[in-house]
Formats: sequence, structure tokens, C-alpha cells
Amino acid sequence: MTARCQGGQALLESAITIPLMLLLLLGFLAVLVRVEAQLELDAATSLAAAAAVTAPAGSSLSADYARQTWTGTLRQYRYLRPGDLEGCAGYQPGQYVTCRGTATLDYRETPMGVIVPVPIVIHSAATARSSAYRSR
Amino acid sequence: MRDDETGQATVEFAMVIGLFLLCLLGAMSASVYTVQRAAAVTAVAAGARVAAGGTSGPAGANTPNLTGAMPAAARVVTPVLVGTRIRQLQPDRACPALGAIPRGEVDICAERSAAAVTVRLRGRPATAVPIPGLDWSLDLAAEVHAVTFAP
Repeated sequence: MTARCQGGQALLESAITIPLMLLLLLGFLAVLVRVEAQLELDAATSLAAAAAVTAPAGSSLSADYARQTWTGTLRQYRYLRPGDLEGCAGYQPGQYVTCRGTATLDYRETPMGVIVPVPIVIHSAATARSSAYRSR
Repeated sequence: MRDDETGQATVEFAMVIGLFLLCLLGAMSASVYTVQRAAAVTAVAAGARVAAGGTSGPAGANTPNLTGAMPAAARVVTPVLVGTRIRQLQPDRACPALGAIPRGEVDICAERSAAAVTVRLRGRPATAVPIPGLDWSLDLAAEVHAVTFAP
């Protein structure tokens, strides 16, 4: 094999290996971002459920408190777009409230958009128990 | 094997091992950052819960417990922010901009705005695996509706 031929082979090997390694690294980071997004959504939904049971029992304020808490917390993460938040409406004293939240994880807001160019919908649920003595 | 072939193999090995180490250290650095970020998410949520709960004593249940929020958040992140200075700011004082916080320091602040309480953690943790060009920073917040009782 001539020296020129060997040089071409090395170049070809590098051209295959380097993008493959970069893709692997980006894929690894994409998994980490997915895990982080789930943690952030879980934390926001958990806070929303806790906020819902701080409103007076039987009041429609529960849903407002929960929604305000949920969107306020998720606002910090530009790659997470808040969707629906359900189940946080009025409760009776001593009952459980379960909030279910949906958000869209948009990889295009991160460098990982190269390998995951489509938004992914993620879900979360959290339960809080209201005080039996809260009436107003 | 001729001298020029040996030289080529050495150059190739140096390139591959360099890239491999960069990827390995990058992955390790990202893993450490993920653990720190996960703890920070939990910390600000824990702080927000404490703040929203109100204070006891003469301040009244309708006053957010901003003073108690910051130690609650700091307790969660302290075990994972090894070598990082954790500074708790005065209550109702905003965190400085990220660029104004030196590397190796993280600030925790708690503020009240209208009916909501916000606990924020912002800073640049010290990293055991520094990668040139990769500047891992933390800027997270939790906002929760404050507990209020009608008179």
C-alpha cells in the first residue's frame, strides 16, 4: 500500500469515527436532559399539589393556586413548555388531591436538537393530603 | 515496521486517546452536573415549601418564612456541592446575575412577589472534572403560592 493510500484511509476512518463519537456524546446528554426534565416536572407538579391544598376547602382557588405554582416553577426551564394541569380543583377537608401535569420537552432549545429534532410530551402526577381542619 | 509507520501509529494513537479521554471526561463531568442539578431542583422545591408555610410567632401565619427557606434548600445541596461555597442571601434580596457569581460559589435567595414565594439557587459549582469550554452553571427556581388564612 502506498503512503498516499494510507493517508486517505486514515482520513476516511477519522471521518467515520469522529461524528460517531460526537453523536454518542450528544445521545448521552439527551438522555440526561430527559431525566432532568422529568425531575423538574415532578418537582413542579408536587409543589402544585401542595399549593392546591393550601387554598380554603371546597374553593375554586385550589386550581388557581396550583396552576400559578406549576407555571411559575416551570417558567425557569426554557426547554419545558407547560401543557395541561388537571385534578387540582376544589377538595373537601382531609381529602387527597392528585394533580396530573403534562409538559412538552423541546430538544430544539438545546444542542441535542441535532439528534432529537421533535418535541416529546412528558407526564407527571403528584398527590397531597389536605388538612382536616382547614376551612377558610 | 519502518520508522515512518511507527510514527504514524503514534500520531493516530495520540489523536484517538485524546478524543476518547475528552469524551470520557465530558461524560463524567455531565454525570456529576446532573446529580448536582437534580439536588438543586429538590432543594429549591424544599425551600419553597418551607417559605410558603408561613411563620409562627408574632409575624403571623400569613407571612412567608423566607428566613427558614434558605437553610432548608442549603441542607439538600450541601452533600453534592463538594468544594463549593454556598451563600445564603438576606431574605427578599434577589440573587446576583450569574456572571457576577465567582466559580466555586452558589447563592440561595428567597423572595416574595405578590401572592407567590420564589426560592432561587444560582451559581457556578466547583467541578472535580474541569473541561475547557464546558461551563456548567446552576440557575433554578421554585415558585409557590403562599399560604394565606382569612381573618
